[in-house]
Amino acid sequence: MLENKVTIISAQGHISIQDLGRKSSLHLGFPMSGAADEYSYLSANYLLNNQSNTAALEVTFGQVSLTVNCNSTFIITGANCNATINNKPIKHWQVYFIKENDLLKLSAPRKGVYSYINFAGGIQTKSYLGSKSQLPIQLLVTADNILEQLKGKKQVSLPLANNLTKQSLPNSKSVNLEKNQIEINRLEKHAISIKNWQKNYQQSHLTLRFIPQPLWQNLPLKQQAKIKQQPYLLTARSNKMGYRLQGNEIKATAESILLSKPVVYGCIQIPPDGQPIVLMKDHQTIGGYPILGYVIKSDLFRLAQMRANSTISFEPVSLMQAQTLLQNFYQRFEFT
Amino acid sequence: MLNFHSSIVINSRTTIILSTLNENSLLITWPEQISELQHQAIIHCQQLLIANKNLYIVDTVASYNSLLICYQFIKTPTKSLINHITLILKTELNNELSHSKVGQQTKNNHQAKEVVIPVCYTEQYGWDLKHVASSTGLTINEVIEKHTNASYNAYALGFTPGFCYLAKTADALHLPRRSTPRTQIPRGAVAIAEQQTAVYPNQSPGGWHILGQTPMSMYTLKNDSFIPKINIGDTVRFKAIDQITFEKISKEYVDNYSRSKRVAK
Repeated sequence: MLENKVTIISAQGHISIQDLGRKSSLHLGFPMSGAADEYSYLSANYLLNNQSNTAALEVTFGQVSLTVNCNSTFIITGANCNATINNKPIKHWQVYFIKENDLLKLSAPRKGVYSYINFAGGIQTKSYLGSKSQLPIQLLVTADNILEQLKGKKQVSLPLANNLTKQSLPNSKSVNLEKNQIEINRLEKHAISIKNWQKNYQQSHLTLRFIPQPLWQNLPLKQQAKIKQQPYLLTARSNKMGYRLQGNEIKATAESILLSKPVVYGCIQIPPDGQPIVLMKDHQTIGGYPILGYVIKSDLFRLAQMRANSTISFEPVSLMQAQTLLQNFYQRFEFT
Repeated sequence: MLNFHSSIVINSRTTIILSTLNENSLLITWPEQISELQHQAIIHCQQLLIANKNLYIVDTVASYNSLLICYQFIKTPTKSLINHITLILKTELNNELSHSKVGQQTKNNHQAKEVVIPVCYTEQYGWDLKHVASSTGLTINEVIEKHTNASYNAYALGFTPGFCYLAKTADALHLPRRSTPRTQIPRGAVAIAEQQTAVYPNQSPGGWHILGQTPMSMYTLKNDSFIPKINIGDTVRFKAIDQITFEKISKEYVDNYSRSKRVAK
């Protein structure tokens, strides 16, 4: 019996396999990695009726074409890439039915950075340290580096779930095979939040709520006001390790230059040049720079989708507020 | 109150700070010093927390003077975790006597070893050798001599996989980090900053001053597990080698790597 596969024919941007990341390997120096935009990634799995941590394809700046050798439900979420199936336009954030040998093409998105493509049951590659998320680039061997393989060979095939049950495949009544389209109840539940998401991502400015550290609290009120009022520019020197901002210099006093210590995703570091860096999913696990605070988890997926030359403002919030927002986020996707 | 930040005094003179970082992590910070004895207490605290399965702790990371705790606030409310940690710090780690006992126990549990790292300190590999020499008022040879003529303790594993923070370097070599970090440093770069030294196990960004390069790998990937070359508690020394030896060792690594890949298949 032929194994179910998705075959990546070409990719001009970046493409990798991501789930929610390696949760317990920080102590080895491994960043958690995982989907840059958790909201879009989790939405894809939720709408497909996959388990929340099911591995998906994360596409950066679109420009990917792929095909499958089986029939499956699938979805594209995240940045709008004007996707087509067999050259017929399809919507993002909508579950479709893809048939054997259908050609799925994504163009470059005009807004946003990351798109997520997933199928019923997800991508079935091997896990390493408890996750299917791509290893940090420095550790990637050619066999696991999709882009490297595409350079050498013509196409890259990845395993899909072999036991696609009736639950994941729609019954014939709900499938409009000509349009590959499926009505799914879950989409209605999720529809309002998708509208909001799309509103957010149309904008080129983002306010980042952060939980402050003593460095912030010890800044003179004048400086705090200045930082809050004058937005920072997101520079092109940004990637999944960290997003570098440019703007008002934040001066860290000598006392705040301390011994290297562990840092986590969302950490706002202040290097000596005073230009903040927000650590993203592939961040370094220990840092020596002073820390202004931590961006709340509920804003990090928004930040991930901002493009270079967008503007960013900072707004301090309390830990409790952050935890409440995160709890709502978890509840939306029905996972803990 | 925006964040939780409290000081706990133990031993009537040691102040330990317990503070929340974000929704799912908090940090325990010991006094700002690089001390082997203090580090052993940190590792002991780490082991006690990991052992308690009821806390649902996801990960812990020890560093020079701090311990990061990653947890799930939905399973373990922040307040209750804070209370638990406070209790441990006030009871288990409170006794000066238990500190040294703990130290010995920790050293015995972990098979501490000495690691010798060969380094090529030429101008080609030592991107910042000149800068370090001029900034410290030493000659290049003196910089190399002071770097190799010391034994370092491994305090933290992190930054990137296999990156191990070693301390302390000679006083004469102390320099602050570069004001703007480089976006790319080569694999095997041997560098210093402040009282620390380390090997960059892979290409990565970095803000330390590069003195040379080692052909030695800082980790092995075996059966899908990750084994760092240097473990916390090990002792490390650097040894100067020439270009020819550098190339010879590099070749050995490449040969061994391909051999192990064939075996793995």
